[in-house]
Amino acid sequence: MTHPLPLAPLLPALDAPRYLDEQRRLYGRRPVLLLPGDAPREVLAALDLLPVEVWGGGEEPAVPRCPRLPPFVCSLAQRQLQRLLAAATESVAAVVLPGLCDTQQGLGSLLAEALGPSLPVLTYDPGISVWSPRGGAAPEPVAEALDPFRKAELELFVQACEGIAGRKLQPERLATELRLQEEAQRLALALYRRRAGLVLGERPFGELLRTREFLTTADWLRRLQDAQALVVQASGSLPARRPVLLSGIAPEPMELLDLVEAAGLTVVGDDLLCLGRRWTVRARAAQCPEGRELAGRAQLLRELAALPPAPTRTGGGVSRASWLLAEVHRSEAQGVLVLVPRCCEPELCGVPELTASLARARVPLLVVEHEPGAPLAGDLATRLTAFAGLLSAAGCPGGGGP
Amino acid sequence: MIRDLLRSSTAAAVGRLVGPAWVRLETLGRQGRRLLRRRAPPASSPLAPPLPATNRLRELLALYRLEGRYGLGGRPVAWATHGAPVELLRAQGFYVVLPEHEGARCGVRRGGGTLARLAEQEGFAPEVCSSARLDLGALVGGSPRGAIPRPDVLVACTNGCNTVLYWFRELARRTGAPLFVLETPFVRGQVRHHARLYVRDQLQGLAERLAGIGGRRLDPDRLSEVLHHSREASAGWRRALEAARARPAPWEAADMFALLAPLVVLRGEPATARGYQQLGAALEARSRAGRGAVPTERLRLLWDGPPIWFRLRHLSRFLAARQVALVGATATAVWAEAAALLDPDRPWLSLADVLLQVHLAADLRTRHQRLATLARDLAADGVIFHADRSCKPSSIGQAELASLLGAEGLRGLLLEADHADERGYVDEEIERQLLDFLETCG
Ligand code: SF4
Ligand code: SF4
Repeated sequence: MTHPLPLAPLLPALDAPRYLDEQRRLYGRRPVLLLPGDAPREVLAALDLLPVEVWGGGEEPAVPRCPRLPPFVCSLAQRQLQRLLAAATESVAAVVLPGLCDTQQGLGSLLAEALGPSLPVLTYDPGISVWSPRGGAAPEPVAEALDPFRKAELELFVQACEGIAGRKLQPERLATELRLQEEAQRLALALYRRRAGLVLGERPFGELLRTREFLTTADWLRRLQDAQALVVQASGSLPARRPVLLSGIAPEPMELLDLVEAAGLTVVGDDLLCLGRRWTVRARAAQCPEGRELAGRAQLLRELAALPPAPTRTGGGVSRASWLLAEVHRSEAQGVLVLVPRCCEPELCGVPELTASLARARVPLLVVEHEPGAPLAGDLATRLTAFAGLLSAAGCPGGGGP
Repeated sequence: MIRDLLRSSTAAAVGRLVGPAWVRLETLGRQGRRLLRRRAPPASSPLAPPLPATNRLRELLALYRLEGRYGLGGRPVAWATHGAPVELLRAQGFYVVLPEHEGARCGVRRGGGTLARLAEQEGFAPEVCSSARLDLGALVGGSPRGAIPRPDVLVACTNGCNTVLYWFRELARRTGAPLFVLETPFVRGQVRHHARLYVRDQLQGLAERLAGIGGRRLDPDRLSEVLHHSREASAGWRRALEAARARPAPWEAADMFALLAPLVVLRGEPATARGYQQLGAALEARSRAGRGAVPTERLRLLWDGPPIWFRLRHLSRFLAARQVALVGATATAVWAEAAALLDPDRPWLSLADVLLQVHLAADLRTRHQRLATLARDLAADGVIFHADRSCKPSSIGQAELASLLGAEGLRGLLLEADHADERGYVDEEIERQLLDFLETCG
């Protein structure tokens, strides 16, 4: 029996700042900082700008709270604001605010005030989620009014991005970008499906997927392909691990995934805002196969509209529960692990309903509060181990071994 | 048929005869109690007694409650968020209940913590807005606010925050009533035209759905009429608020917050419009007579953010005892803006404008401009920013606003508390911060 291999020795290590620097020097791609949410990042990429997502993880900033925000605001926003204010001095082309939640809307206002006009702050409002599990829109007045609104928002966003890039958006470049995204997301999902056989630790696997946050789509795809080629050749076996679905905002700090692994769990699918919750390919397959015939902006609009229901999309209720249950079954997860950032109202509000739905479906659930940038709670390892024990006791065969 | 007739005649009796008499008796009782209290030593309150004109507005609200309890006569009931298009609901014959307003009433009576705890036992985290927790707690545990009629429909508008969506979805799950959502985009700078059209289209869609539930198609003339009365009420409110420009100010923020309720719940009724015009006239008369809410007013402050409902009067009295008057509040001032926006001849777009131009959905620059204008109009010396733990849309940005206004010579105090959940609130701590602040104001 060998232990999970970290990916680092198998793939060239990635140094994000160096990568961004190279992209700027060699290809003239200036970074555009993206706050969490559903922004059409393909537009940026097709204009040769480099979308770089800003989450809460990493070492910096060391000060946990930003004096410009009240202390009861989530630490993700606290850390983002500090980082973004620091980034204003670097050669960033713009900041994009997709208006994820009340906190992010407020953060956006602060940024616009603090950074503008020296740094353009672009907004994009994806509109509310009206996803229904039966397909089509929910019977609400908002559903009918959404399409023209979203179209106008996208047009304005494209115009603003064109202004920053200094060129027009070429339909064929957008089409290429959409195709690459689709290919890469499919591969990421395939890797999840083969997770049980991959000799790869939880944290390196998470880090691999999260390189999407700053790589060009072509590079992300290449990296996923490399990883796939390497890991299938690697030999060894894993101790049996219990497969779980990971939900929440972002697994931060990333050591959280080390604890998941040490507890005997393996993540076989996700509903994380930083990852799968924004993968359009799944939404398209589930909701609007006719999206295939669409191209360019129309395709992009359709895909963004069909993203699955999530608390961060103000989507909840029956549709959220049935989406998540379908994911549990599809991924063959035996339980759901929900990571809720402290003070995150959208996620916290979703918990009671989710707990009830999963209990009805007899799917074990563990809700963990965490704080990006802060040390993990001392009892977390014990709770995760107890959860793994619960899954074993429920009689589920371990899914981690080949 | 006979049952319906009986029900509607009971409703009529409650509405026209019993109700007003009962409410008058209540008011007389209240006044009597107040008179008795006034025999106590004169130092009991540094605030002037409220104006009789405020009774009319309180009566309207009491009567409305009575109607909800005994006199609905089959009228459909809508539960709505406080930023929802009440005018549309009213024009289609709905009796409107605003759960947030009910929560505030519990907060005033200091029942908030108990109700919040009930919601927390149901899985709602203490970080979730206390308005939502209080209301859900009331639903779970039986409300001390008295029986309010069950909803036939729920209408949630996101112009204050997104919390209302989670909250109203839970109400829908628990009551079984259909939920309609109106989404209003966050406004940065000017309202963009496609956002106005988006809200207009939703309003028109909502009117159709409401017709299906309440059984009454929207009569465009009735909508214009309701908008007209709503505009008048808002204009009356503006007049009343502007009366606070006088020195000393004839009224102060505790009364402003308390008397906002009829405008929020009952706008669109002719009696509401009349009530506010009378209030404005009475306040003007009071200031002509040189009488103020804080007779020896020395310092004038503004309040930003939701009130601390359970300490509303106490804080006003505490400040008044130090010759400080709260002469205005952003949360009450924004309700006067509808007077300039509502247009009965352009009902849909003007209603959309009102829904979009809510203070909490505005960017920092707009909030700064509003506060600076208010401070100038009311000749304020400083601002107390209530950093409400529950209300992120309100509290995020206040530190920035304080420093922006500070640069313009206006002092600011950030006061962390909660608007309805009294747990964790310590009088001494808050009062110490206020005293320190007042010292810096001179
Ligand atoms: S963690 Fe939650 S509250 Fe904070 S920015 Fe993300 S979604 Fe918003
Ligand atoms: S967050 Fe603020 S606006 Fe929203 S319900 Fe709570 S108090 Fe009201």
